[in-house]
Formats: sequence, C-alpha cells, structure tokens
Amino acid sequence: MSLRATDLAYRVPGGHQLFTGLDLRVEAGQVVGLTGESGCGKSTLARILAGHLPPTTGTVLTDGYPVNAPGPRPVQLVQQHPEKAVNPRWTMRSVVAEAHDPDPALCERLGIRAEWYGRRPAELSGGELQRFCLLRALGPRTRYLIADEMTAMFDTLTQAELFAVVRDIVTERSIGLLVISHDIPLLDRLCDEIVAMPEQASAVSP
Amino acid sequence: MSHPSPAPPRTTRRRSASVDLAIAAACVGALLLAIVVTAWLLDESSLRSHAGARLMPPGPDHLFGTDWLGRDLFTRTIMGLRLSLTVGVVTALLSVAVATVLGIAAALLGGWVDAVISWLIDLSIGIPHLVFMVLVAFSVGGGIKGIVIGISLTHWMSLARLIRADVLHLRHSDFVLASRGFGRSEWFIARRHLFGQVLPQALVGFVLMFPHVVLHEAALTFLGFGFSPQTPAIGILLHEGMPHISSGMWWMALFPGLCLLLVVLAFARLGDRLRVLTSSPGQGG
Repeated sequence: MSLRATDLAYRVPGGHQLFTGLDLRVEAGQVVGLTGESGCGKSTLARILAGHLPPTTGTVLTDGYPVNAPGPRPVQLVQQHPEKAVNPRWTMRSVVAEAHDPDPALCERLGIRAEWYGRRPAELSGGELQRFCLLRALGPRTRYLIADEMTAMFDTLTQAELFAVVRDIVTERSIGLLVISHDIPLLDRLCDEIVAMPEQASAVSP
Repeated sequence: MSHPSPAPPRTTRRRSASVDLAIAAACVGALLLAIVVTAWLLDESSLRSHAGARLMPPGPDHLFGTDWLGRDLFTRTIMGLRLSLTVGVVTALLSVAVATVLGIAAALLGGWVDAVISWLIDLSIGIPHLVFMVLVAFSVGGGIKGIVIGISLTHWMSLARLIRADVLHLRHSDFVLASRGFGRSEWFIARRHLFGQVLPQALVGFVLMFPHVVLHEAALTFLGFGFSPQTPAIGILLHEGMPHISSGMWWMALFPGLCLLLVVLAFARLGDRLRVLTSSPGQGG
C-alpha cells in the first residue's frame, strides 16, 4: 500500500526539462518530507502525484492503480495558494460539499468556525481558507495527502498547531503524508523520512 | 523631473464603474418602461390610415407627424420600437445561448469537437455577415422567423471564441483540477464551475448584442427580407420615410431614426459599462 512514482520526468511545454528519472515512494501512514531549492519542480511534482498534471514520462501508482483513474482520487493536494484552489464565486459550504460531507469533529479539530461556511473565499483570510482546503482534502476516500507549502501563510504557532492536528489525523487514518517545504526544522520535527529533490533536477540544462 | 500622477485606487475605480453602470441601467430601464407603457396606452386605431390627415408635419395632434397614408407616426414608431425590443431580446438570448454552449463545449471537450466548432467559427466569420444574414433569413422564409434565425446564426461566433478562450484558461485552473480530483464529471464542472465564470462575459455579450440585433432587424426589414410592409417596424418606417426626405417630408424618417439611435446608444452604453466592470481587476469573489 503506497503512493509510488517511478522514473518520472517532466519537460515544461515548449521549455526546459524540470526533472528526469525521479523515483518517490510514500507508504500508507508514513510522513515523508520533500525539499529542494526554488524552481526545482517540487510543486510540479506535487501536481503530477495528485494527477493534476501528466508527467512527460514515468508512472504514478496509488496502491497499484493509476492515480488519475476515474472517480474520487485517493491522492489529494493542498497547495500553497488556497485562493486559487477554490471557486471564487462559491460559498465555503459549496466548496466543501463538492468534495464530501464533512465530519463536524474534523471541522472542530481544524479550527473551522460555523459562521465561515456562509462566506465566500474573498471574505476569509488565507489561513482560514487553507483550513477549508485541508478539510476538503481529508475526505473519507483520501489515502495520501500532499501538503505543498501548506502553512506558508500561518504564523509559527498556528503552523505548529495545524501540523500537529494533521499529523494526528493521518496517523489515525493511516494516510500517507508528503510534506513539501523549505523549512528543514519543520520537516525534521514532522517527518519519518526527508527526501531532497535530486541534484540533477535543477541542474539539467535545456 | 515629472512624475506620473498615481492611478486611483482600485476600490475608487470600481465604485466609479458601478455608478456609471447604475446610471446606464437606469436610462435603459426608463427607456424600456416608457416604450412598453406608451405602447400599452396608445390607441391602435391611429395605426389605421386617414385620408384626411396625410403627410401632416409634427404638431399637437400628431407629435411625429403622419405618413403618406395618414397614419400617426408616433404610434407607429412606439409600436416599432416595442417590436424591435422583443425581437432584440429573443435574438440576442438565442445567439448568446448558442455562443455559450458551443464555446464551453469546444474548450472543455477538446479534440474533434473543438476542431469542428473552431472550423465553424472561422467559416462563419469568413462570410460577409450581411450577405450571410440575408441568405439565412431568405432561406427560412423571412418575417420574424427569418430575422431571429438569420441574426442569431450569424452573430454567435465572436462571443463563442471569447468564451472558448476563457474556458481554455479556466479548465487548467486549480479549482477545476481539484474538482476532477474529487471525482466530479465534466458536465458538473461545465455547469457548476465554468458556466458561472463565463456568465458575466455572456451577460456583456447579450447587452452588446442587443443594439446590434435591433440595427440588423431594421436593416433586414429595410432591405425587404424582414417584416411585411404593413407591420409597424422601425426598418419599414425608415424604408418608407427615406424617399420623402428629398421632397420636404423630413419627419417620416427622422423621428423613427432618432428613436432607434437613442435605444441603440443606451444599450451600447450599458453593455460598455458592464464590460468595464466585469473586466476590472479583482473581479473574482
């Protein structure tokens, strides 16, 4: 039971090669950290792992099945910019309902207040919006969660609190968690294993 | 060394655009109300000919004068405007609906569907549209059906192209990709995500299309492919009035023409204000 990427390569359409020959494995219930310098393709890799973007070559399998098989995907992505990840014209109630019917206990653990449900994304702060994105991503079918600079808009204390909650949830539900961050101390505290994007990733010439 | 004056803050610009839009909408609303109420209050018997009141200039009894059969031109102009408004709304709605459905379908389904719709857009834009419109109107038998179908089928392409471009951009946006990740179908995405996003564009298209339709309805009727001669349509009034201008009966074409211009300008202004507001930065939300 794992999220497994094999021999992944991605070339920006009409542009340069971002990475080649990349292998990555996240076991169910494991917390893996991914770091690397800016522009090396961490966010692109996250999108490929979540099935949002096809790789140029290579495969991504979740528990042996292709990641972009029809139906709700077992891999969910929480991105750096929550305001782009939700329909700006919808209320938060619709945003969450699109994914699943949320468990009130989970909402409470994530610090989501009832009065926020009637608001639209522009009426919430980045941090509040990110909690909704996290709630939406933690549906009953989620087996793997990718957190791409998820807490960039939180202060250190809130960041620590939120990751503690997420860590507890993924442990309880045996969800594999891939944390992408530049914050090495955070990854050290949180992860069972830390992986760096390969040297060649940023060094590959056009 | 001179410095460029700072641009007004975004909120001020949006407020100013909103006020402009409210004024334009109020003008259009007042104009529509005036036309509909006046047409309802008018005595339709004044549409009949009166041999004793032929070619009378504007005066207290006949505000816009009378025509060569003694019919009151004010009544005919108001009736013509009401007819033009009805045709304008129906045709613009039909045209915008075709553009929206085809634009979304082309961008979302891609492949051969996109190729066929894009080819159709290029082909239709390539034909001179007045000729195309006359051919379509003539082939379906003219009249109101000819006008509605003729104008609708020749005026969906530009908006469809705009909507296609919008959807092509939106289909790769993070919230659409996330929706697919939650197992939502393309139909759900088109209906719930994309339609709402392109609706302002479609609304602007509708309002801008409206005066265009009214002008084309008048043109088609003027050329003899629209309404029958006894219908009090603006195109018919202009067609009948034009030959009399050179013989001193200026009122026969002037008043219907001015009223048409007023309606067209009011709608064009409203559409323009709406376009400015919906395309201003930070529109989302």
